[in-house]
Parts: sequence; C-alpha cells; structure tokens
Amino acid sequence: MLEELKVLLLVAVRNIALHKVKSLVVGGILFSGSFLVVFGLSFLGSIENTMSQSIIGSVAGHLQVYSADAKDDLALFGSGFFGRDDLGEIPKFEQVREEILKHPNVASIVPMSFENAIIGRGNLLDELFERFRKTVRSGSKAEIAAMSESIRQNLRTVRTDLENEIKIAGNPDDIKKQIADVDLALSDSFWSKISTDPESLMIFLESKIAPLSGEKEPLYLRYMGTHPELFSNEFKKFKIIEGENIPAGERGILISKRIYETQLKNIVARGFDNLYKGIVVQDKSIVTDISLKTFATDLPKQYLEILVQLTGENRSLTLAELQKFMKTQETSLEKVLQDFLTVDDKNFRERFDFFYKVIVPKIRLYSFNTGETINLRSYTRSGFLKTVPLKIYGLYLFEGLESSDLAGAFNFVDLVSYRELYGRMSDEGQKELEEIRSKIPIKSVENAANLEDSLFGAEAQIETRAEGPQTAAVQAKPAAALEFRRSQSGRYDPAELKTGLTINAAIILKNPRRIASTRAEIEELLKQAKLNLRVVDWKQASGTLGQLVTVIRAVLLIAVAIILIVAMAIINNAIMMTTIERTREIGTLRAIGAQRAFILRMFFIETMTIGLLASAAGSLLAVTLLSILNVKGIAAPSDFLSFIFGGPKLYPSVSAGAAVFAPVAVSLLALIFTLYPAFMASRISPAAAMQDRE
Amino acid sequence: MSVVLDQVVKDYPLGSSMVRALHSISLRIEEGEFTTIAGPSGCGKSTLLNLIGCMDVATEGHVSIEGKETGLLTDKEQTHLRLNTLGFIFQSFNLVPVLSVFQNVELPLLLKGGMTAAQRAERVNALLDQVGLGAKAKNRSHELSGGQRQRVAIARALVTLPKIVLADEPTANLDSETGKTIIELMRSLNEKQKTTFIFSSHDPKVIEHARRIVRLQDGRVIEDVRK
Repeated sequence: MLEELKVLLLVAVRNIALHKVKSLVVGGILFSGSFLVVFGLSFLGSIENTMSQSIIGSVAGHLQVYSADAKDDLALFGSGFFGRDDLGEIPKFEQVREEILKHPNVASIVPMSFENAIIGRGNLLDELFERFRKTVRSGSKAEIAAMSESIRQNLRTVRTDLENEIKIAGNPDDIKKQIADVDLALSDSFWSKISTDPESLMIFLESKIAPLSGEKEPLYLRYMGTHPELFSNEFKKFKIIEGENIPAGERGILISKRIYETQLKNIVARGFDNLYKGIVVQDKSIVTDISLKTFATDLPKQYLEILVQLTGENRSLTLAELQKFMKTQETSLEKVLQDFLTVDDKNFRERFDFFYKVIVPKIRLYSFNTGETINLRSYTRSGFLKTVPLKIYGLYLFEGLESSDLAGAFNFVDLVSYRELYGRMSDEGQKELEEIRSKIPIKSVENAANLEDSLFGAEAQIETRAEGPQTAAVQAKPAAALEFRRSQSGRYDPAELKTGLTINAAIILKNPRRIASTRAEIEELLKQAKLNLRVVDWKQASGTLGQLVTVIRAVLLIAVAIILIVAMAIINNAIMMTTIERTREIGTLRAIGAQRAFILRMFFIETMTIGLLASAAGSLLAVTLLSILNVKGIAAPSDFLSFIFGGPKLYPSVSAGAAVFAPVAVSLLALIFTLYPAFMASRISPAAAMQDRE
Repeated sequence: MSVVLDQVVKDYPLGSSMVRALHSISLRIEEGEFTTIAGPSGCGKSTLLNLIGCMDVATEGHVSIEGKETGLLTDKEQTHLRLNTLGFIFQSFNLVPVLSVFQNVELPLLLKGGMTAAQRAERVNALLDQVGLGAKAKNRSHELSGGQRQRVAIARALVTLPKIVLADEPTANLDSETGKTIIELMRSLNEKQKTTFIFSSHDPKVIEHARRIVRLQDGRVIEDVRK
C-alpha cells in the first residue's frame, strides 16, 4: 500500500510537471483562493478586534441596557438618520444599577444618555459690533477711533458685496435700500454721533447693518449626559487633554477635541490645517488632489473671517507685516489678505508658518475656549427649546482615535444637566416646586414639563431658559463675566448621578470573554426584578457600525465562494481536458492490471498534491504579508477607517485558524471537483490502450 | 489449453447500424504456443486480441482463458485476470512517460502487491538484463529508441510471470531490423519460459517467425497452420 502510494505520488508529481498549463491554472487558482481566504479572514479578524476595542473602549462598554419599550434600536454611533431616536427611558437608574451589580461578572455600570444640541454662532458683524460696544464702554478715545475706522473698512467690503449682489438679485430695490443704510453708516455725519449718542449709533449698526453679513451656520453638537468621574474611570481610552474633568457636583461640558478642531476653530485656520495635512503630511498636491484644490480655492474667499477680527492697531500691524512678507505696496488690507490666502503647492508652507506665527496671535482661534460658558440649546422631550448654560471644563479625546470623527462625535455633560435639557426636574427642583405649590394653591401642576404641555401643547415653540438674564441665544463669554448663576445653586448632590433618569447605561464586565452568557444572565436578573429592559452587546449597541465586520465578512465569504465555485469549474474543466489527453495512458494502466480504484486514487492524489502545495504556498504568502504588515502597519486612508483600525494604523495579525483551515478547505474543495473527471477516467476501457499511436 | 474461443462473434455499432468485426470464430491456443494472428489491417486482428485480453466482451460465443469464461467475469475479476495471467505488449509501447524504465517495469508488481522492494528489484533487474537494458534502468522512456522502448514493454509484460502474453502489432512502429530482433527476443523467451505468445501482425517477415499462423480475412479465419 505504502509502495503503491509512493508510485502514485511519483506519478502525481511527474504529471504535475508534465501538464504545466493545467498545473499552473489549477495551482494558480488554489493559490489565490487560499491567499484570499487567509488574508481576508485574518484582516477582518484584526479589524473586528481593533473596532471592538474602539467601540467598547470609547463609549459602548461590553453591554448596554435600555428600555424594552424603546421604539428604536440603540445606535450609539447614530442610526443613520438625523433626529431623535425613541429609546424609552430608565426612570430609576438606582434600581437597575443595584440589580445589575449583583451579577459577579459585572465590574461597573455607567449611565449615559445622548441628545443633540444646537449652538448658534451669530454672524461676523455681530461679533465686531459686540466688541465695539465693549470698546465704547471702557476703551480710550484712540481705541474707539481705530475701531470705528475698522468698522467702516468692513462696511466698505459689505457695500461691494451688495453691489455685486444687485446684478444678480431679483429684487434690487431691497438691496438698494440696504446699500443706502450702509452708505449712511459709512458717512462722517453718522460717526460724529459717537461722542454724543453712541447708543443710537450702535443700535442702528446692530439692527440694520449686522443682518447684512448673514448668520453663520449653527453648530449641531451631540452630547452625552453621564457620570463624568465614573466614565473617565471605566473608559480607558478617554483622556482629558486640556482643562479638567467636570468636577463632582458641578455642571459643565467637556468638548471633543475633534469637534473643537474641525468645527469650532476659525474657518481659515481649518483651511490651513486641512491643506497642511494634505500637502505636508500626505505629500499630495493642490494641482492634482480635488479636495485640496477645493480647500485652496475656498481659502481667499474666507478672508472676512480674519479681517473682522483685526481691529485697532492689529489692523495696521498686520498690514505692515503682510506687505513685507508679500513684498507689495498695496495698502488695502483686504486685498493683501486675499492675495496672502491664495496659496499654491510652492508657497503654502511659508504662508502656513506666517499665518500661525503672525496672524493667529491677533485673532480668536476658537469659537469657545476652556473656562468659558456656552448656552446649550436642546429640545425637551415635550418639544420645547430649553437652554442650559454650561461651563467648558476641558477638551477630551479617545486615545488612538484622535483623528476619528466617530469616536469624537459627542461631548460630555453631567447627567443632571442632561436631565434638565431633557425636561426632567432634579430632586432639588421637585422640592422647590413642592414649596411653590404649598404657597400657591394650584393642584394641577405636577412638574415643569407637564406644565409646558398643558399650557402650550407639544407643538409650541417656546424657548425656556434654566436661569439667567435674556442674552443672545448663543455666545461665549468669559466665565468671570458670567452673571447668571443658577437660582438655587449651580451645584447638585453627586448622588443624583446614581439615581433617577437615564436613557441607557454601559455595563463593563470583569471577564469580557463571557459576554454572551453574562448578557443572558443579566437579562434574566432584570426580568426577575420585573424591570422591563433590553440588554444588548456592543455590536448591536453600535448600530450599523457594529454589523459592519459581520457584513464585510459575509460579503468576503460570498465573494470567495463565488470565485472558488467558478475556479472549481475551471479546475474541473482542466482535469477533464487532461483526462482526455491521458486516455491511452489510463487505458494502458487498466490493461496491465490497474483497478478502477487505482485510477481514482491517482487523480485524487494528483489534485491533493497540487492543492496542498499551491494552497499552502498561498497561505504562506498571506502569512508573510500579514507579518510584514503587522510590523509596518497599514495607514488608515480616511478618518472613518482610523476608528475601524483603532488608531491611525492597523497592525493586522495572522489568524492561525484561517492559515491552517484555508489550505485544507481549498484542497478538499478541489478534491470534490476532481470527483467527476476522476470517475470518468476510471471508466476508460483498457482497450483505449490500443487506440492511438505515440 | 490456454485460450479457447468458441463461435465468437463481435459486432460494433457504426452510426445506427452494426458492423460485424468477427464472424463465428472458434480457436484453441495451447500453452507455450508462439502464435501470430495475421492479416491485413481491418481484418479483425485487434478485435480478437482485445477479446482474448479481457479488454472487450464478445457479442456472441464464449472466450475462456485458463478455463475461466471471461464474459462472466466482473470488471474487477477481468482486471485481476489481466494483471495475473496476461501480459500486454502494444504497438506504440505505451510506457508511462513520467516513470523511469525501472518503474515502468515494476508497476505491474506494485499493482499486484505481495512483494518486498528487494524482491521486486531483483525481478525487474533480471528481466531488464534479459532484454538487454540493464544499464538503462534509470532512464525515462523518451530517452530510449523505439526498439529499446518495446523491449521495456516486453519486460513489463513478463514481470508478473504471466501465462499468456498478448502483443498487438509489436513491430509495426519499428524498422525491420529492430522488428526482427524484438520477435527473436519474444521467441527466445517463449522457448525458455514456456510462456504462451499471441501476437498480431500484417508483416510477412514477422509472420514467418511464428510457429503457428492464424490468418484472418474480413473477420473470418481463413487459414490456421502450425509449422
């Protein structure tokens, strides 16, 4: 038997060498198939691993719990639709917390609730006039005069824009009237009122002129109400990089560094940053890269964002420095600035450095700074716009996911402020309401939200404010200048973070390997405690994102299956062809006494030899490539992929299972497709030995 | 007796009709005979050899080899019979191209089994010496001349010590001088080992070496002479 096997192997190897084309076709297919399976599965396995770390470590935890009454599925990274998901609510977090912490595998439970806020950003002239107001109030005469001149220069730009607009506008009369207003604001007689009646002058500017520059786009901020300290302890990737975490018992917000850089930074600076990334870091060119070209084209158009911020002596200083830098005699700052912002591949690096060195120190780089307070506006559950002022305590990021929009998609607020924006009163607030009720005999007032409902109905668009004077909807003010303090106090009892309302909560496990069984056991625990809740793992909780790998894997396997089936048909064909070629040889073997089984074995051994050799080589190549990539890493080509890769680079590791499984599976598949030709060969009559001539 | 053919008829389908290749052939070939089946091409020589060699089945009549009626045997039993009782020499030598001379000759022994490698080597080498190819054992078949290849084929046919060796036009692809040498080799083996040889040929120079000549024409035996 062993001797026969030796001969069969010898015949197989010799035949492989003899039928080169067939061997190359069959071997090539099996080699590629095996390579694809090993590389694909290993790569996906690595992605699943990094992505799970990104998702678990940044927000999801291992499990998430939320109301079973939810109409939508929990999707921590967005459900793909803008708007509010109905996730029900967990009215008494303390009950859930107590039950879930009973499970021996649970390390911690962190409450979290997501919501979207709107932050308006005013307009350019508003900002300018606001500063002018301050200067008028406290500045010297020289400062006021310089600022007035700066305003007039800006107004000339506005006038030019309006004149251009008149050519394409459908209602030139309205614009003519606006131009008349601007002309008035430019006139000397108008500015002569600065010493006699500054207030009426400023009101004219603010009411008639400011609207002409148009609103800046409002900012949409996604925020998460949580227990700030607990979150920071349980999510290891979370890191404060500026300022501090929201202290216990304080109201505040932590802004995502990513949002801070991509949305709150001065638009010209962002343009420079984007170009820097493309030209300097990624070595691309404005000429050939379409997105860089857009950034470069947009840059000079955004000069106003710099111009209005340059007031007083900063204006003349900047002009002088720009003239020197640009080697020009041009005296219009507007023109020099536009020229300066017209960048190409060659001049970019110099201008980038000049911008950050000379211009940035003279402007406000970010809309808000740490330590300032912003008004977070959000719709309560009953549909009212509610505003809560929150101090920006700091900036945070998720380590390794710095450049990911997904990981930096939300900002943190304390859960108590969240509840307020949600329209749920704190215990303290409830107590206060009780006191009011005892003094004023209105029996029907249950809570504030119901009061709103009963008064205005759910459709009413009434803005309510937590406290404080009427201010413009949105703006940043230095904390010191902030006059509004909460009526009762800005503080709250830290114990409130562990009780009361939350929408969902992350469960951190001690042993993450037992995630599936723990999930089922917790669900059972909650059921016994008569808590109507849903428990999902991080994959489900992250919405479509979590299913991504499953989907990619399914697509890969289907693609591989299709490729392999087509390949196998080709293999089948190739073996059939050689069978026909070898008819006389097979006939001879049958004539000299080889049984049919011998012929079958001969074909199987040939296929197995070529199959194992080729697919093992394919697997080996995949392993080698993966090992190299494991050291060198694959750079994430986009910010989205940096989240999937768990950082700027993916270091894929070899899936040992796939490396062994693929060659065996591919060879077996090839064997199956050899069955028919082998069977046909075994039916060849020994008389075929006599048929043709050598 | 080695081979008995009794009223053997063989029909082949040709399109929708049947063509009769052999018409009621009866023939007895005794052990140790050196017989040629002679006749022009298309007379039924190969068909007759195929029937004797268990490579085909008669339409009518009986073929028995060593007392076994071949038509009643299963494919496996027929194969077994070819392996153990019969040896084959083909017009085109039919060596397995990927194997060496030694391996080609050894192959039937491997199929048969039951021998150690040393026993096989001894038998193969002895036979290769006998056919004068002891020095070429390691060569591949394409490195040999036609005559040498046919000698390898003869060694392969004899290696299982068959009772009967069947040869289909063994010299047709050889020049006359080589053909003569091959026939002489077969004859000397026949004389030494008493192996029955049945070979087909249309070449009068070859035919004259046979001790018994069975002449076929249009599927019928027209002459059967012993010298």
